[in-house]
Amino acid sequence: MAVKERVRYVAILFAILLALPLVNISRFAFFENSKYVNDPNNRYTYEETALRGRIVDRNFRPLAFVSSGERRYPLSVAIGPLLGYANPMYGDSGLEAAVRDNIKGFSVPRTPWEAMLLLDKRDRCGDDMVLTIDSIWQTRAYEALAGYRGAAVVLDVRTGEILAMASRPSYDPNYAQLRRDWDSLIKDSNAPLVERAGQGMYPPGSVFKPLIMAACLEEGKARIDETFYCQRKIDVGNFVLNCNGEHGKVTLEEALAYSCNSAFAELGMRLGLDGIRSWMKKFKLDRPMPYVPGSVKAQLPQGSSPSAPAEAAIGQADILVSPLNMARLVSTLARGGVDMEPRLLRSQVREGEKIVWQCPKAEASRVISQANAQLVNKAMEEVVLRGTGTASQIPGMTLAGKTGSAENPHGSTHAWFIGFTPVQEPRYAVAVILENAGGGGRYAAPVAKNILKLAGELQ
Amino acid sequence: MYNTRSVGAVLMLLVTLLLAYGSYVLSLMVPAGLPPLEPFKYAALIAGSGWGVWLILALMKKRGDCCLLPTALFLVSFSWLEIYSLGLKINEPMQGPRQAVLTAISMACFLLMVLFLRNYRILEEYKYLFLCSGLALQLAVMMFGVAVNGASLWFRVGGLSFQPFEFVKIFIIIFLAAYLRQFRYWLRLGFVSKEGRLPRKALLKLGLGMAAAELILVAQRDLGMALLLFGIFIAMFYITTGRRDILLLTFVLSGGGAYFCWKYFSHVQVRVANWLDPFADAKDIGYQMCQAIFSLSNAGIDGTGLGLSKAYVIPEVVNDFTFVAITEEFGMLGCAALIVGLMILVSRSFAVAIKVQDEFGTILAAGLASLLAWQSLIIMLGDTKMIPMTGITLPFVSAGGCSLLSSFMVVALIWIIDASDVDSAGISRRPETVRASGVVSAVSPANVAGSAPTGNKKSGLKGDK
Repeated sequence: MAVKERVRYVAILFAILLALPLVNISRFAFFENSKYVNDPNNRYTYEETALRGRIVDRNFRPLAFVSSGERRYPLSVAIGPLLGYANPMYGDSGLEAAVRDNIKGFSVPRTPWEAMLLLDKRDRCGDDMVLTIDSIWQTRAYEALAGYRGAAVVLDVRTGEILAMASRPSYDPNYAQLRRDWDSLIKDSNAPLVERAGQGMYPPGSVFKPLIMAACLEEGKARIDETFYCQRKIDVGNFVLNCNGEHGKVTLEEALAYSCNSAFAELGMRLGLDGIRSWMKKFKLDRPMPYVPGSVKAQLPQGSSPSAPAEAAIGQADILVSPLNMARLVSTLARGGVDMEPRLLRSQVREGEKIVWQCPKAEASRVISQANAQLVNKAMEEVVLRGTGTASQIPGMTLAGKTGSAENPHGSTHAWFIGFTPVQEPRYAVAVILENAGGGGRYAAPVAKNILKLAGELQ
Repeated sequence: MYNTRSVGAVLMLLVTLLLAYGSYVLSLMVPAGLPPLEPFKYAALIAGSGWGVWLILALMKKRGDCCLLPTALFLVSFSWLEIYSLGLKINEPMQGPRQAVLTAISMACFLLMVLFLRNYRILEEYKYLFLCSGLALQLAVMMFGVAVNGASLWFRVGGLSFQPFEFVKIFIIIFLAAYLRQFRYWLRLGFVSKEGRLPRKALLKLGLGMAAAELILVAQRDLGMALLLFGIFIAMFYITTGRRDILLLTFVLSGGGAYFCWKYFSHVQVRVANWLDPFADAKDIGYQMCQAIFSLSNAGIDGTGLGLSKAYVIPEVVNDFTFVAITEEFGMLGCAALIVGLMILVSRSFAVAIKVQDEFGTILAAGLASLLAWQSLIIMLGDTKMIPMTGITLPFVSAGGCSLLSSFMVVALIWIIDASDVDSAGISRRPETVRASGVVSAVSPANVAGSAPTGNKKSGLKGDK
């Protein structure tokens, strides 16, 4: 009977069609899985279903871990803006977001084969991310900033590893506190959610001078024993630039020690804006740092007025840098003119033993000659011994540095200090900025001192 | 030959084990303040009513397909576990118990239908009654029902909701089966036949009726029902007549109609746009679909495990996205189990249609089987973003009493068709069934009353009035 024949056709058709939903399910669950798992609207893959791996410091002290279903941050405010937060309510931010793919749990297999392997799952914990941060340095840097808005970076000169990246004001990324403070955090005009050390952009002011000095020495546009004559002001074409004092006859070394604007404006004019830009590039300040997630690159000077090179030379004009950029600069000088890529990520460790990813060893690339770097370092040592940075002297330790007071449209000058210790075998480099705090020598230098004192305490 | 009843009993036993284990898991999830043994109680209710119906039918020596009832019970139990756990998550702890009670009630209705509707052929006599009452119900709900999401599909009396379409669709199928059977010879003829007038008239009536129904349903924002009705009609029409030319014409016309609806109804456009890219508006209109996709992307091979998914964030998860929740928690394997269950149910129903020795029975059973298959398809494909999402229920799986009751009624009808055929062909106990029974019609189809166009033109005309 033809009717029954047709019933059979229809039955077979429906039986086949019924398997169709599996097409898209396998697309979502396996083949295009990562697309949906990583969708910003997806609040699925957080702690409840997948146990995020820990974020630990260089000594494997936990900075972020999951305990009873919630992400916990033992250092709390000391590292808040750097780590960010991760919870089902607000999603994730900061490093938590940047390394999400590395540390999130394997609750979602990406291919059928991976799924087969995962049938034998003990726990679904993600990998650990090891940072170069040292909890001790981080805490110290954060404490030293107390009372200010600002940031501090500590670099290990020998390896380029970041030991601390502190930022104030801060917040507590632990969920209970975050939820309590959220409304005030997002409204606060001091922007506590912003990570300032790697992402803050500031005019460098006088901490830019070591770069100018190094550039001039390297290009032969200035000699170390050359003398300048400071009359408290210098005419730089279209306007008169004031100096912070009337220094009279100064050598180049003294010009740096006393942060003489007149001398550096002169040097800036010799270099020209192109020269300053090319030297910022040589010091790799305009490059993104691949192993420091979220870090910003410096803004090169663009001005066209005749005075632009002079202003740029004293770190004003439209130059903007992050504290991390300055820490990189000073550590390059401390290393004797050799640049090393700063790094925050160290390795990714699976199940506490197997290293699945390791940050490649930093390549050393020479920027300026060792001799010229030594000259700049000597001048920076003078800054601390006799010049503007005397407030940073630490008994029993040798220190080289440079202060800065960067003028900005938001009020008082930003207080800067960059430096390194010990002078002979540099080990720690530091960059400190205090927003609108005032003079660098008066405010930033003591903060840097408080941070670097730790180097002595650790020995 | 194997004993079909014992195959069914084994299936029933497996379902009982599933319920026992599932309710153990559920009892671990019951929050403090609620009795922890509650899931066992309601699992026992489901299993008890299933076994009760099974035993009564066995004791009364009712013969029917051995797989239908256990498979339906499997689907119900499987989804009940999911609905119970979702209910706990979305803070509606009565979802599970309610579904269990509704299952028991539906089983009782199944039993009553099987016991008292012994001869399905009388349905054929009342085809216009079914059509009229179906239309009246649908009209009433359109005029007096409660609007949900812009579509007026529900009656609400006190705390109870009632969705008439769940029953209207069965009435329509009964009517279609009777009507198609009555005019099958006419419909099988070409557009131009010796009798000329008649085939065109029957075709025209069917076509216009369906087109009007489709248009009203679409205008009423009831896209799921429109699609469902269309699919069933196509399947039944093709099975009865085998007219490929008209099938092609229907597809072309309905393609044009679909374009027209898309062009002139903004709610259709919204639906289609949301289907093409739910992420475009992931926070508002696309939210439900996006969450469903995230849920599916979390499924994996073996799923998260019962009660461990986050499918509860999907809005309306117990009604529209039960399938997604089951897939997430039981993985591809659980999803495949569910689909295999539906396949068994559908193919057994089609097997009944093929086995039965009566054309009305064949068409009706095939129509009902198509209903189960097509309805499952629409919602499962909608859930998985393969077609635009429409809010119809998945038979036996979605939460909701009307859906459950009507699904059991469908299976009861198929069971009755199967059982009565065995009776009439084998024992022929009831003389009234002999008139149109398979034995007679198999010997000489031309003698069957009201079937041949030439031999019984009068009755054909009568029905066509």
